[in-house]
Amino acid sequence: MEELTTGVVFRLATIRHNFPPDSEKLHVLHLELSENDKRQAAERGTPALLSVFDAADTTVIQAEAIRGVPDESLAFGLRVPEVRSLKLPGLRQPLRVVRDPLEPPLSEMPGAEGHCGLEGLERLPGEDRKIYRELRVRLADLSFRYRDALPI
Amino acid sequence: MARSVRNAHSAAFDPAEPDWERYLRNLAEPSGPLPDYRVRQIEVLWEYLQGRVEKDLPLPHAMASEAGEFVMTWDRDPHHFEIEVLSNGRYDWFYLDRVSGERLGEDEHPLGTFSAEMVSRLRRTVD
Repeated sequence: MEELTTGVVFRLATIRHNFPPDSEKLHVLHLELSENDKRQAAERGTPALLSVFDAADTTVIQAEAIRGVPDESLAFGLRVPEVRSLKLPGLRQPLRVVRDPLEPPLSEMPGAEGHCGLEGLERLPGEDRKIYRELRVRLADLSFRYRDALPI
Repeated sequence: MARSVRNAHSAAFDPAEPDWERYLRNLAEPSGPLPDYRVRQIEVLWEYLQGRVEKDLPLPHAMASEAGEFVMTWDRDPHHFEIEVLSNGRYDWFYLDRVSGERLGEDEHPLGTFSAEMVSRLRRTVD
């Protein structure tokens, strides 16, 4: 998988059941892999990935169309070098941001080429849960509200 | 109940009248993702926390997922504290000091019971 080393990625986060409904940072629960993320990874034989988009290739509006969550979601950015530099005691591997091509018909939508995944959030059996809880806290701390640049 | 919010992540919203109780009620099906009994469990846990930790416990940042997960977090300076209420009537808690790197927590704690460590770390986070 092609790895990103620079730039910004953003995550679309549903805020339908958040209190308060607005925040400048991701909630730690936004950074948990879903059962679907884990199942897809097991089927593909690849590491589980948390869905993000490369801001150089995809706009927030395009990502919302791809994800089908135009309402009650916000985009939060993460700077790739900061994500890659997160080091925690006991962490098995550093986080990586990798390209994660979508399948048709989503791959044919505008901006689909920017789909990426955050790798390294999956806790393996026997690993300390607290390491991954801290990892999500540190990642949420790095996040910021992301908006598309206004056209000039 | 309408209370002000003290939270490190709170700068972006209007803290004038966040309605915590209404938020919890709206988490119940069909408007929300949680069965009634789980919302009641969260309400009971909240009452216990107010009784054991601080009567005017600052409101958390909270989130429920469509899959039924529910997590409350408090952040102040280096301190982070979170509680995840599980579907089996238990909860996990986790504390992190961002500066010292201290991390503590317990998994699968029965609702209605609290360890001294948990109470002290939540107090440290919100005081």
